[in-house]
Parts: sequence; C-alpha cells; structure tokens
Amino acid sequence: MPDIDLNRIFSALSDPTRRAIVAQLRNGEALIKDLAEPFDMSLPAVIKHVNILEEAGLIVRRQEAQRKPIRLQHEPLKELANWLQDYAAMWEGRFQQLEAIMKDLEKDQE
Amino acid sequence: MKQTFGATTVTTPNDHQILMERDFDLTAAQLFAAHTEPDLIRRWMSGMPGWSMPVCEVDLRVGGQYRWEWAHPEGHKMGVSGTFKEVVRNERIVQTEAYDEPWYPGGCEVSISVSDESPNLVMLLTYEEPEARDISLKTGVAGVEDGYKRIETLFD
Repeated sequence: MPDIDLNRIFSALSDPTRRAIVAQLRNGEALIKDLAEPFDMSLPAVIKHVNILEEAGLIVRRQEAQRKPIRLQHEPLKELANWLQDYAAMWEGRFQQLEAIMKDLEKDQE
Repeated sequence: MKQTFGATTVTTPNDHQILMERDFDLTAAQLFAAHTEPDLIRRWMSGMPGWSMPVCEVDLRVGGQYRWEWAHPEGHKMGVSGTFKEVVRNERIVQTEAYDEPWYPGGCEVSISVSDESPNLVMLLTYEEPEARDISLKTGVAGVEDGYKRIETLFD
C-alpha cells in the first residue's frame, strides 16, 4: 500500500460535497451519474470532486466494459481515524489527570 | 472526521483546525484554574513519565505572556511561549503558541472555553498552515507512544 498522505486526505475531506460522496460510497460501488444525483451541480463539477478524492487515495475507479464504477478505499480512512483516536486518547489521559487533581483539591478544602 | 476516546471527542472542522470537547465533573471555575494557574498546569501538563515542568510562568492578562518548559533527566528540553489574546475569567482564554524549536510551520492559536453547561470544555486549535495541523495530530500520537523524542524523527 502506498504511504498515506494525511494532509491530502484531510484536505480532500474538508469539503462537504466530497464528504457526502464518501458517505454515499459507504453503501457500495457507484457510477459518476449516481454520485452526481443528490447534488445541484454539473457533472464536470462532480467529476472534479471525484478526482480530488482519487488523488488522495480515498477512492478507486474500476474499468468494467463501458462503465467505471467508483469504490471507496477503506484503508486511508481507517488510518486517519486511528490518528484521531490516538490523539483523543492522549488528551483523554491528560483530562482524566486534570479531573483527579481538581477533585483532590476539592476534598482538601472540605 | 470525528473520533471519541473516553469522554473526549476530537473533530477536524476544516483543514486548519482541531476541535476538542469534553464534559467534566468540575465547575467552569475549576477548569479555568486548571488551565491558568501554574501550580495546577504543572500537575497535569507535565508530559510523559520522567519529564518535569521546571518552568511554568503565566501572566494572565490580555497581552501578557506565558512560558512553559519541560525537562527530562537525560537532558532533553522543550519550551513553549505565547501571548494571551483574550482572557475572560471562568469563561475563555485565547493564547498563541510558539515552540522554541518549531516542529510545525506557521503559528497556532489555542482557544479554551469553559462552562458549567455541557460541553464543559471546548478547546479549538487553529493552525496557520493545514500541514501544521496534521503534524500536530501525528506528533500528539507520537507523544503517547514514545515521549517527545519521537517528534524529531518525523522530520527525518
């Protein structure tokens, strides 16, 4: 698997349309025209969004006869979720300490 | 993206920011004190096991500076300073963050809001550069795994 470029993934996912496309692909493969359906925008505009997601490694296009179904790549998303979860875990540790210290002080003052 | 660990929720509202939210069994006044009184900051921000926080100075007023320094018995040191841009007692502080040896490009602004209502703590980190935001997310993790030394290896 190629190196995951977090910066690219984050910036690809910073756009609400692209997040909606990713959410839609969670249900399985789709064609461009299916993906474009919920949006009030031109097909080329949707293709542009799909290209950005592809460059970030979040999706792949499969060649199948005349069609090119688009599929979600789960690995980069998992990787990203792991970073965020570890970050949350680090702060949760600090916050638990903070809470315990303040509770101790409270008891001392009683 | 959104992730929860224990009571802490982290989201990335856009490519410049990290947003953290948590509920505590504490008052806004207690949370404010924990983030602004040196004796308290030292006790929960001292970093990884083995590290101490020999310097923790806070001049809590708009335009005032803070200075935190961490030290490891083996001689490693790390320091961060910044300026308070906003101070509202028991409600909110906004401070800039600049490390002595910057490990991410551009500046960072940290906004800490405390409340008696849920969420009791909202911390918003805004980075000038999206790249800096991502580095910060990664090194935060490195901090958990191997201590602050790992930060350096990210630039190899």
